Amino acid sequence: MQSFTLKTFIKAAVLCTSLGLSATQVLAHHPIQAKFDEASEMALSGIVTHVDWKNPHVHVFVNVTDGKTVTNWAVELESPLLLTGSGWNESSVKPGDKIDVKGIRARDGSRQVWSENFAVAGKTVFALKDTRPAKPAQAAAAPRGADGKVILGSADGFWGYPSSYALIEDGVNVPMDRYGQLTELSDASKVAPMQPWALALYQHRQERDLQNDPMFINCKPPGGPRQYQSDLGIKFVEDKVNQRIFVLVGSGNRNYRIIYMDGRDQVGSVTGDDDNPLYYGRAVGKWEGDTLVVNTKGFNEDFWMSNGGLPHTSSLVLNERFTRSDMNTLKYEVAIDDPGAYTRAWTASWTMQWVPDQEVPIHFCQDNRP
Amino acid sequence: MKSIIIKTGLIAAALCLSLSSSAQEGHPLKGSWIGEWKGNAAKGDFVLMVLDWDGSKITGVVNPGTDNMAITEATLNPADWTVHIEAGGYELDGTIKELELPARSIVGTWKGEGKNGALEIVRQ
Repeated sequence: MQSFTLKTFIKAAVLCTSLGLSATQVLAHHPIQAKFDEASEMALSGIVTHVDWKNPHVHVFVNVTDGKTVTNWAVELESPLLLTGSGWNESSVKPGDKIDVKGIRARDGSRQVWSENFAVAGKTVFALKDTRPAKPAQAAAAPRGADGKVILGSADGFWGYPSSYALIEDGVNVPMDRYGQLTELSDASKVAPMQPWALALYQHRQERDLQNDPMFINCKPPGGPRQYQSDLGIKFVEDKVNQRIFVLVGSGNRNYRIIYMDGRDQVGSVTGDDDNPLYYGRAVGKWEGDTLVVNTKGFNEDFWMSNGGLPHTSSLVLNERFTRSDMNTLKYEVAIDDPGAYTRAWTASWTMQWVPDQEVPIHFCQDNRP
Repeated sequence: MKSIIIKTGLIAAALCLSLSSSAQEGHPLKGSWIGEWKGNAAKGDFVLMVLDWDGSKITGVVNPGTDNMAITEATLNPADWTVHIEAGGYELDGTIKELELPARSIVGTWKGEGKNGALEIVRQ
């Protein structure tokens, strides 16, 4: 009897876990290529029944008639942020409109299509524009405060549109898309000096089209360098009275990271404490000339530190350098030291662009729709 | 009586933990694992393991509910995700299944004290 009860409980526990995960995955927001098959192009025409204008992706529902059969399809589009930036709004397409859609079909065979543009009466709507702000031919010098220090952030803009969406060792040129998906899986070992288990895990994630990215599936924060890899960007808020710099993260449920500038010791710990948020680690900073230098440790292992899924362990230590080289350019340099996952320390760098006259965009994960 | 109390506690822990497996995106073995080594008359079917990764080796304990057995040898082959663990005279061999999930499992076999059987443990 005891053995039977024991087995039953264990099976129940395993079942609970499995069901919980399955439900999470069904509801999750996957990267595009994980949910839709780029090789499965299709076209459909029909009547709009509903427009769901919400983050993270807009959905337009369409009744498609085939003979006497009417089926309802979901056309998934980019986020309201990107569509609004391209000049569209919730009323651009209305129920009753007849639309022609070209896109790619869902991998699971369900009636879902990913589309980047479609037409109403032959006129294209929802086409995406590049919302990256134009860089002035000659950038102004970086602004400075009364104390002569470079101002990293100000109220009238944010840093976004990174020059690279990928975390790759400096000097290595490996093509990948904006989600960190490698063009060639065989390039995986070039990306960074990974230990064998880390390389195999990275390849496994790549082979699965990044389907299990915890930032998409479980709304985990984009900790580590990843917070600087999104068009939605970040914003620095310098609190000189309390000697802290806050990094407001546009891409991750409006998370924030605290950089302590008061000279406190680095005591980051994976067990965390009041000033050691585990997803962003315990960050202590100082100025070296015009460069903000930040040392961070005490990360947990519950997130991906990069687009594309480079693994890390709780041994991770980041040394970051932020330099506003001119009004429009922020240079980000990071030294990654994680003997738990990598064979040696390595560096990566890219730039971010100043987006003037805008607040950090509101972009909540699907489970946290406003 | 003490053994029953310990086992009951472990079962309760397993049930509570299994309601939401904690994420683990680093080394795939790191964490707590609960399941069965079936047919282990000496220790009972139920087994709990706590595994860690220090950057160069896998460490931890195997706990069947009566005592902790320190792991003396453990390897992970990332080519096929096979695992080999030695503790307290026992040898456990298995393969990580559903590697991408927090509640991944290790399925394989155990042998020790002249016996052997099936092993199945799930990460909590």
